[in-house]
Amino acid sequence: MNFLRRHGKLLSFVGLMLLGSWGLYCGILEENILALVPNKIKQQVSLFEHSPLSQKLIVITQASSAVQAQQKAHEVEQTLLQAGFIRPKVQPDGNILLQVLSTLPGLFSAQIQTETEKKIALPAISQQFARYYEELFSFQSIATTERMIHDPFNLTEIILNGWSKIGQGVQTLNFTDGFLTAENVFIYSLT
Amino acid sequence: MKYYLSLLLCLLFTLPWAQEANDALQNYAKQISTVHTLQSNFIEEKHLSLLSEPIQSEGILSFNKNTQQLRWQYQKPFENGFLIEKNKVYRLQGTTKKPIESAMGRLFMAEMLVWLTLDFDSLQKNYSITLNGSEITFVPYHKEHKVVKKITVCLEAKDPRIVTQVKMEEPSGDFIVWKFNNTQINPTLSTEVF
Repeated sequence: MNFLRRHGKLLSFVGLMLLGSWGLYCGILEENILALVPNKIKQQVSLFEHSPLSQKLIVITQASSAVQAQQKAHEVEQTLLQAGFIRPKVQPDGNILLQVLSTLPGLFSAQIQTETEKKIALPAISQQFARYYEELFSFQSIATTERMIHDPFNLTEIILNGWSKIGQGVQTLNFTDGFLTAENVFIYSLT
Repeated sequence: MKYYLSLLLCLLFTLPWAQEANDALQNYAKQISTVHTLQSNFIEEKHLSLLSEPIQSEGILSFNKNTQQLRWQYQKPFENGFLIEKNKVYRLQGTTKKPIESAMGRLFMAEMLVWLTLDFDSLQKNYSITLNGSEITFVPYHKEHKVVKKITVCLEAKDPRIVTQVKMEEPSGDFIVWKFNNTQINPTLSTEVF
């Protein structure tokens, strides 16, 4: 009893040290880059942290021919894969449109926001439904009925318009093996 | 041993039938090849899961094999359709005609010509074809076909050059039926028709 009275403080200190050591041994050390970000912009950066764009790296390679540009893109891709990057799986028999869309930069600009708001306004919805209704009576509905179900407000049009801008000034834009290529100009990679 | 005997018997019985069916198809192909021009009214019925009731439209189909012109014109309830002229495809909307430049348009044109002439040699490359009287069934070899699960073409028993009905079933369960009537074989079609 006397021993406890005499050395109580020392024992408590030793106990705390042991608990701390055990906690450090079992705990997982986490690094957060946000700790290095200045307080002024911390909030904006933390919002951006969860954006799909922050996890996507878009590489543009340029060469004198489309084949060479694609070879370069493949080399870059291999290096990035070794560094821990993941390439989205490309299914050859899958929906080509979805594949192409997954290849595009995931940007959501103020312009897209404005266009989206216009598309979901009541007059635009009525107009779109009238257009779809007429399309149902045409031959092309064989290919477009599924789109009507999945995209009743035709929001895909906004994305497709953005896609067409990528190919501006280029005669043909091809989608091969997960790469968007344009003859002799450039390549968009999806690593 | 029993298994091989059964297989052999099956082959012995089915081979002559298969040959017979093939001969019948070749006979149809021969008769259809004599069609140079064609005009027919059609009723299109679409049974779509998207809608609670089937929808119906009507129109006229005109075809000239020699000039490679095809006009698929809807008249009711909306005036639209498409026009194929040799290597070009146009979308018809009211009185306007807009060219379709895409590769999809060219593919569609080639496919339409194969079906209109019932080019069995080409169709056999992509479809398993079975014959039941004057009814021909086409099932794509590619089981994951996005648009077609089965196509059934009914020919007129007395004159197999005349298609009376086509039913296209989609993998989703939706289906479209085209019923053809007042079909004229080898009429004189003026250039204004197209």
